[in-house]
Amino acid sequence: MIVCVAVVGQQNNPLYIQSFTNGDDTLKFHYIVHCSLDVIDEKVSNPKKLGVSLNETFLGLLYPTEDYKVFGYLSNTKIKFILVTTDQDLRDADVRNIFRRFHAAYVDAASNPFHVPGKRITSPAFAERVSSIVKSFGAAPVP
Amino acid sequence: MEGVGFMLAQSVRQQIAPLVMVLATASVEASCQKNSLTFVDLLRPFCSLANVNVPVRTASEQPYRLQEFNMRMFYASEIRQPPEETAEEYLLEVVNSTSENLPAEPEEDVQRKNDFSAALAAADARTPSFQKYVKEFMRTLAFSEHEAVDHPVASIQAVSSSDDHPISRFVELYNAENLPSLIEEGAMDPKLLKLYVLVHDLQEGSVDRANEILLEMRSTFGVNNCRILCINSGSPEADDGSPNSNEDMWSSHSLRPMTPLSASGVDKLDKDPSGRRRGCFITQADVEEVTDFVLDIAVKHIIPTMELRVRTLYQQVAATRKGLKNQLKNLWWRKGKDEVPDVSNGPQYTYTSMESQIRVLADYAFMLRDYELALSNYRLLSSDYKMDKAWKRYAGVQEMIGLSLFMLDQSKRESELCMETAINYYHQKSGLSSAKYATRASLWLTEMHKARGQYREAAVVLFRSSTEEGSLRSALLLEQAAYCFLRTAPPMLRKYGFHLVLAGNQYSNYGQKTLAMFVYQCALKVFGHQGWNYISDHVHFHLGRLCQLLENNAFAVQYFKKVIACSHQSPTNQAKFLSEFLHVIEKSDRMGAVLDLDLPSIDLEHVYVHFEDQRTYASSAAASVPEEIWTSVEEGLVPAADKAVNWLDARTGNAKTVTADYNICVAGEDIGVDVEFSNPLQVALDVSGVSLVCNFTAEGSTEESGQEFSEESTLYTSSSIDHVLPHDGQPGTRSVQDELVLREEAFTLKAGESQVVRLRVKPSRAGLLRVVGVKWVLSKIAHGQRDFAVVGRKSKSRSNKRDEPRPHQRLKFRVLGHMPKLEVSLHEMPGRVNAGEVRRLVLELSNSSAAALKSIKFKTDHPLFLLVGDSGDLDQEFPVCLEVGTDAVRTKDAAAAEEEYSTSGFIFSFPEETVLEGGSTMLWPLWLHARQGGTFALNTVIYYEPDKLSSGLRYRTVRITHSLQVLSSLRVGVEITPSPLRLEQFLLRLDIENDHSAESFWLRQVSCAGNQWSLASLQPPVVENGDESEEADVRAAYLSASVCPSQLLPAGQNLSLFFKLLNVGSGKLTAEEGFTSNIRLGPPSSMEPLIHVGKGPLLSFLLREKVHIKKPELFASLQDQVGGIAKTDKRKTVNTSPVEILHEAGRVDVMLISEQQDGMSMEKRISSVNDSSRIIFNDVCQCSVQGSVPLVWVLEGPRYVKHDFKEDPFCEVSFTLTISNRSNLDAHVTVETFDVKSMPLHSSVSNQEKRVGWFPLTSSAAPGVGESATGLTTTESVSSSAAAAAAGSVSSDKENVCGRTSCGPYMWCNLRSTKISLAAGTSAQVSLCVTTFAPGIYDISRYQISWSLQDKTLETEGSLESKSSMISLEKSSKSTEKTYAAGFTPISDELGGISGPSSKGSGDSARFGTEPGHPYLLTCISSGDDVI
Repeated sequence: MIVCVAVVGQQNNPLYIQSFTNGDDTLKFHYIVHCSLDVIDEKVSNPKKLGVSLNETFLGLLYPTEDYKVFGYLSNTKIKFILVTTDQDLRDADVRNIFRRFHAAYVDAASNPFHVPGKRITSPAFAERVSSIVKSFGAAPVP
Repeated sequence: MEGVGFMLAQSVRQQIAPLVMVLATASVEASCQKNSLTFVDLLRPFCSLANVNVPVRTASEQPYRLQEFNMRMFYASEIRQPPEETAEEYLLEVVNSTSENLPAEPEEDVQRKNDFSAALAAADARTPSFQKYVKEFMRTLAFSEHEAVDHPVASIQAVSSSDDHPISRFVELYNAENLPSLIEEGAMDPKLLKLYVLVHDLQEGSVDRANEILLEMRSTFGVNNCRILCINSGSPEADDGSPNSNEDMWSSHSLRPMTPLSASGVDKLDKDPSGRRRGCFITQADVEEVTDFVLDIAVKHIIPTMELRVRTLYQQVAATRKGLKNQLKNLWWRKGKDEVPDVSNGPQYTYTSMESQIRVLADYAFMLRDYELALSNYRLLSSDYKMDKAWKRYAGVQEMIGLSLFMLDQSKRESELCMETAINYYHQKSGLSSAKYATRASLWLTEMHKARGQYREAAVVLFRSSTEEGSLRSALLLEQAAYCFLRTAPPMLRKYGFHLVLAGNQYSNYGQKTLAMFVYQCALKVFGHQGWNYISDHVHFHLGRLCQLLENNAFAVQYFKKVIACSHQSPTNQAKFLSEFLHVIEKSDRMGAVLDLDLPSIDLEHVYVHFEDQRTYASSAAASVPEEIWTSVEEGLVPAADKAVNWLDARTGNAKTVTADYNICVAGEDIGVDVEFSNPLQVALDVSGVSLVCNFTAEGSTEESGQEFSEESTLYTSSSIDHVLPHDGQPGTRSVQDELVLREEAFTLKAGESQVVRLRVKPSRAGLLRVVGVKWVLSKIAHGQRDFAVVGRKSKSRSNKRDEPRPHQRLKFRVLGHMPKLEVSLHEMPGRVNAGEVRRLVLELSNSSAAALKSIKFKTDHPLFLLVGDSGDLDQEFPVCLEVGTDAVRTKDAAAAEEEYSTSGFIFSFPEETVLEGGSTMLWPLWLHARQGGTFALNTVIYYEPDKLSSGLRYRTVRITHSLQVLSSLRVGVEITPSPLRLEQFLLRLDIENDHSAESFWLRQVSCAGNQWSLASLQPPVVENGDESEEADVRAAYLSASVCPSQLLPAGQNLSLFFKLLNVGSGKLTAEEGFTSNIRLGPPSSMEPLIHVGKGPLLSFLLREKVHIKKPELFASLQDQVGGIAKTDKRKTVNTSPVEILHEAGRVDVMLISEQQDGMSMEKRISSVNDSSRIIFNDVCQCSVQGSVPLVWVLEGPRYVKHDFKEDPFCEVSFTLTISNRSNLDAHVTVETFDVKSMPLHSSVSNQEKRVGWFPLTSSAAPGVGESATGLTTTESVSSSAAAAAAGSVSSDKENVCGRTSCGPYMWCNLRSTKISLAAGTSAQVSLCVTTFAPGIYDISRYQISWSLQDKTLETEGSLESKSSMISLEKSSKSTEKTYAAGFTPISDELGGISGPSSKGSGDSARFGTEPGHPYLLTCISSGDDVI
């Protein structure tokens, strides 16, 4: 189950962050997402060492915590997509697919002429789409 | 190994060094105490021996040299593990001591770029204290039973030379009770190398006695083991020789005793009561002696002893454990112990056990830096312990393996693995008590990672161990982990921040508030300004809390302030943050301090300034009407020059530049600033004491230094909040309170609510005022203030056009001296009226200021709706004042009024002598006549001037606006058709339709205005002539067709009334009669007074309307001449050709006056007539008298002819046909007469008449003829009885007469056809003659009139006219646009649709026409009847 989704901008400022749990743990996810930016930076700064190919947008597992797994994805415009899940065994292909859909959703939201690049995404349509992606992921049987 | 690794190795060597147990007598301590030192402390600085060169052999006889050596000296009493609580308390003190020298001030505004280096600096600053802590922490863990590292290698027994019986003292010292407990327990080998030292205090006496004792000692304990140590050779008084730098020698090395000390104890240690510095008696010579002493002990005794020990032990171990036999034996022997339960510490090993021996061997080898030997033995031991399930010992050995591997600098991986194993086993298998050892191993591992540059791994290790630790240590470890993240490449700033937050949390959990503050502050630098608002809120909130706990409320306020405007947080959090914030402010001593609060959030950039310069507003609604509308209303009212040129422009150019962007306002009047406050939270906010912050400079000081003022003001805004406090005593604001009246507002903002608040300031003197910002009190506690954004001139744009801020955005005011101010209110102004309703309003003008004002003028943009009445109008009750009264009617000179309207544009000037003194009030009537349905904004401007011209404004205006909804009520249509019988009579049909959805109306009166026309009711036929009494008249009116039975017209119904319109001739009527005629519509019994339409407001409205209707036509050449009847003679501006004069009579104004009643019953109406009756005045102006026919003709002649047919068979009768051209065009008229046969087919003459046109005078036919004659003559008001009598009298002989005629009953005898030219408005007469042949009744209608309005003059003029009229129409539409801006729609010809076809249209439609003659009956009686 995806518990948190975040889009982070070039300046590492949060553009969109949404948790999908019932509890009041927004702060926790903020910290998790924020910290995982470090790992993204690390992966980006020395890609060879960590085995990330240059043309790959999917950054893989950023870091596992006790309860969560954090995955990252970096767009060409240095927009970071971060996913926090509770699933312990996930196939990269699935995650990659999810990210691709997020990316498409983001591109659409950013194409809105009223969206200010680098500012928070306030589009309800985007939120709607993201939550539907998250829900569809939760519903899909994980083989 | 190099760099950090070398440092770590060094540290390991220092930490794991041979331990020397010290036993000293009290007198030795006393001697040392003179230097504020203990004996051990005295020796300790000299225990690190650098630059020694000691040859050592390994167990396998490999020689090597020790270049440096370390020893650790401890009192025997200290060689034991302290109780856990003591240790923790001790460590806590260590932490406290380190936290004392933290920077407590939060550093604000650190540049982002420097963040990383700043963080590194902070980390570096914290490292030594951590290292110190680690050292102390490890010290608390020393002397455990599972390790041999801390087993003393040797013991030093020190006895003072001043002691009695020194020899026996030596023996006593090495007493069981002085020895460490570990020896007693058997974990430690009690057989130690013993060294005997005689300490001689040179202050006590000479060395001689000491030497004696030494000799004695040597004889007792052996030569080699005895030493003498002389100290205190110097004196504090003469310390020339003693180097001051020595002071630090002890301080840095001294170890505090493990027992927690009371505060006084700490003081005693740190500072000698006598104030002497440490080591004040120690001279350089003493230092050298001590150095020599320690070196001697180390080189000559300790190292050789250890070497020897290693060798013996090695041989032992080799004998028992090496070789296949031993291994097998060991295996078998160990097997027997399998039943041993899995206890955490494993079986108890005494020092004699093989395992302990091996451990000692390995530790000694380690200390002697024979790491290979140590490693092999540790490995041997680890397998043993593992088999024994002595996990703690196993872990300890693993720890040492790791260290050994590290010291050998080989197999990184393995060393780390061993450490990991150690940590795991300490944790998992050996119980809680050894958790600390796990931490110690973790620390070692961390250091090893760090030494290899693996900061990330180090951080992970630290983090992990911190989670296992449940004490203050976890915070320290987390903090260190954070620093490790900082040092990774690339630096992981966010993880650094995160771990700092965790550390901060732990610190505050364990009460280390200062440290928590410190780490949170460090963390803040990472999280701030990046939009991670949840995180920064969290950090700020905790910082605020900590500051609050540390009693640093000022900083707490600063931190909480940043948190409170957190719209993203949950409502509970919002409430929590807010209450904490308010609580802190309450607690802080700076209760009244003004803060730069974000709550409630204020739109600082969009404020709307309301001020009144020459323009004042009666209401806020008026202020919101766009300026353009007012400008159009004010056109012609205010002097034009003032609009174009600011009054300031008249001043010098210098002053102009300074004050160019100042608004003008008047002292003593409010300036309002609309500020929008919004509550971003889900919590209701109580905001009170909201007022503007202003900067005021009184007049005079600015006159000469305007530039200075502006500089001051900029400086003012840029200065900090404190300076803006009004009570701050800054120059310029000193007397602000006296000069400005600030009104405070208070309101409550609900969750998420926005509110626009009008804040007011009233300057009481002339000067320059600048509105700086707004301040408020949140929840009656927190004082906030924000400065408005300065909407200054933008820098010159490319088009070189300056973007001036709009006046309502400017916050700078030039305050002028007192000016009169008129306040206007309109009483009795309804919000909704019915169309046509007439209301009297009361305009109240009150001068609220002290100065008098004059020259009041009134102008409205709806002059047809609003009318200024006469001052006398107020004296009477409404609607009585409208009624025909007894008082002398002051007939308004209509033409003059119209003149005034057209020239002054409906500006009403109050009488010249009207001067409104300060504080006085004037009432003035206004009339409202809602002429038209719809919703209107009535914008009115009242102009006035101050009585005495001061330096200020020359005039001011008050702008009033009212919204009026007009419901449609009665619709009135008038159609006037010319009477076919009389030229001066017209038939007027009044169609009344009640359009109102609910209301019913009482019709009261129909009036007609015009000095040529009078209105009369159509009399019923039964009226007796000659009865002229008024009652009869009334009854006649009631019975007439002009009046319907009920005057009540219910909603949605129609009614048509017929009236006779009489032309009373163009001669002027007397003034008393006016030019009106009224028909009362009420029932005969009604004594309802007539409403006088010829005076007062009704007349004025009528005139205005006429002017208005005329206005578009003013430009339309001929057409405009058809004006109101009112201007018959007096018009000067327009052409007065005879043609037009004639045609002015072609229009008539008809007015219907009705009442709206609340109730239906008559009684109610009468009773409530004064209060609730509402007069409705519908006027239909300038109805064209001209019908569809442009020509009117009347055949005039005798009605009865007596002729003796016997004498003369031809009876000739003469008629006169009068043709009047009612059109405004010239006409060619053709009159044709017909005989019977040639009657045109299209004629409307009835069949009977067509066939015969003659009725015999038979008695039987007479009634029928009479009836028909009656019907025909009714309109002519000819008595039919006479006709009937005549018919009766000529009842014979008709048939034969008829039979004789072949060509028709009568013949036209003088004219067949004639053509006449009729100029517009003229009339002509044509004589006609008819010949009859027999008595009878003849219908003389066999003629036809054809006309053509196309004459040659009109053809040319008409084409020109049509062009010019088109142009003029455009013009007129333009002109109306100009005069009446938005909000007023000029009344077009909508009403015209009801009032009949427009004259032009009718003219066009009837340009050519042919009409048969009107029926005209001629009775011809034979005079010779009686003869026949």
